[in-house]
Amino acid sequence: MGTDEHMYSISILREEEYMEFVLNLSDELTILDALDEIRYTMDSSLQYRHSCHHGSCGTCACIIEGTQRLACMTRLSEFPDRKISVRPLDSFRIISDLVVDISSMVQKMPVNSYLRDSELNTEVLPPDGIASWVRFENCIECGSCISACPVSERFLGPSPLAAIHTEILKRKDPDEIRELRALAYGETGVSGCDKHFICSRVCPVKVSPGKHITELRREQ
Amino acid sequence: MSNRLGHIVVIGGGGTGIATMYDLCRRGFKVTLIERGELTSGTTGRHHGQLHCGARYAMGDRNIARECMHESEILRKIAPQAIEYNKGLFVAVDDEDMSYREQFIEACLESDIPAQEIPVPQALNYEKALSVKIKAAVVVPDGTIDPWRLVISFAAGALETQNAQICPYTEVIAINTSDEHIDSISVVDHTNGEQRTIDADLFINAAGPWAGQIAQMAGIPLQVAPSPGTMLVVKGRMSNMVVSRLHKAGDGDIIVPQRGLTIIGSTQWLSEDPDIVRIHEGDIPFLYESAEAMFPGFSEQKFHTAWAAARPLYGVSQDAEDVRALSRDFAAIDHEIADKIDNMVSIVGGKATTLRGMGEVATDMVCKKIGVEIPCTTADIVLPSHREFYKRGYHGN
Repeated sequence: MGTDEHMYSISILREEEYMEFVLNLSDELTILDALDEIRYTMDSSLQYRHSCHHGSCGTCACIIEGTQRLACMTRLSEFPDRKISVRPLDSFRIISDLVVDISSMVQKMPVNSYLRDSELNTEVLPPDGIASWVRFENCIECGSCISACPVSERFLGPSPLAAIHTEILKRKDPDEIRELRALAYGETGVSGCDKHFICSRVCPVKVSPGKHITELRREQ
Repeated sequence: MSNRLGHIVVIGGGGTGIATMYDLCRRGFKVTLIERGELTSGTTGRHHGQLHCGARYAMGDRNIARECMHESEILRKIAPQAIEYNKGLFVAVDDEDMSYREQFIEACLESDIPAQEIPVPQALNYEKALSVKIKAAVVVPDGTIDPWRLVISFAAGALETQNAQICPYTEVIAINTSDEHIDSISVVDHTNGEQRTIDADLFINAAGPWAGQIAQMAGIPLQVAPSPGTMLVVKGRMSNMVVSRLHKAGDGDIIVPQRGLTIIGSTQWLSEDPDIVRIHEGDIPFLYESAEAMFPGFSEQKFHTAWAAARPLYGVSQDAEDVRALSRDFAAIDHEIADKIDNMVSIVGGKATTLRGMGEVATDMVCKKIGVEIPCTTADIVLPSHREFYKRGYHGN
């Protein structure tokens, strides 16, 4: 794909210091492609998370030129001066290089359904054997919103609150809903949000966690 | 780390290695899984996302088709939250496709796949993006997988048994053998640069397209051809069902919806190096054109991205002429017989849909090798949610 190649300077925060890698890359490639290229041709010790390479798994989120982005969905051509800094997400424990441990976020999410009804063709009954058309939730649990959220007090955070909200909307059992609401309106719940809405701005899949928090407040 | 049954090292943290680890742990083995990067970062995570009921393979190989049907039913039962199960449609677009229709349905039925032809207007009602020119439509039980979340659910299941230790970012640098036996492997932990050796009673090579390189470290020749393909994604969910072209399995003939995206794949070529796989020139226009035959309007959707990944095809020489004709089957190889290494098993080939079955076959082989009979239970136990994975000791928590 694409034949325009240029020298790029990719500076990656490793432990305390940025390490610069200068290499020739096609403008069409992504930051994740660049990381692969560095790892396989320059430094096999470079570590980063990745899996699907198309913005669905959420593993490759990092801070690219100061903003939380998915490395696989960020193209080199977005950076005309060809100098790009990459560092791990804030607010998570760093395992190595760009690898962070997102357990602290996922542990706050309800372990319930990751499926929801599809918004497509809702008026048409699906084939026999299927109760309703389904699809995965939008949130890919990448951690970008947690990293960008400026709230420093104990707070569940944007994506866990969004997950709790979507779960409340899906649940029918009043006891389950009561439990979820207790989380949403508890000490570390929606009251902790300072309404910066940076979460919604950085979300790579437009979950709009800020909107979910606003709606939770309205439904209190 | 050892118990009565022994300690097993699994090399490779893709679908195959993780499902194998899970089955071994369920049967009581202690397992250490070694993966040089993030789990599923090689091939599994990058697959098209189709849960194959086997219809695609029915004409070519009834056994593979039957196996896909069997395994896809099991996955729907044990990992329902990692699958968008909306079934699939095979659509005939031209006269040649039509001439294929009857034998296709017959082959599916012979493979225990409940393929059912439906009237064209009904298909167009199910999926509005379909070309109004389609001539026939057959419903089959396909679906969409979230590969990352499916596989880490298996990993969560393994961690739940307390028999698993998962070591990501850890690369095998040597396999240390003596007297037709592997004593240990040497690894480097990239998170701290430290090297160490890991002893085990038995070693399983589940390195996908890298399995040939791993076998080579033990002096074993193993033919695995890295065979990449390109996938193209547009924004917007154009269908709920997986839509395939009703013809002989080829390139660019499967459209898989997933979340708010629509993915067409794939292409296929042979590569020597599975590390860096770049999209082939010409693949993107080809995939757009192929998609248009089934979904006119696909090209007008906003481009999302495109990617490539190397499939691990077993038993293939680099000069194979028709890559599509190569088997999607998998094989478990006991290297004691062929290569005189008495404690190594390779599990190679296969597809994401058959990951659990591959784990079962590999674990059966291990049990047979050490002379124990322990039944497989992985088809009957619902896996934990993918979110449990992070609570169960990954990253040393």
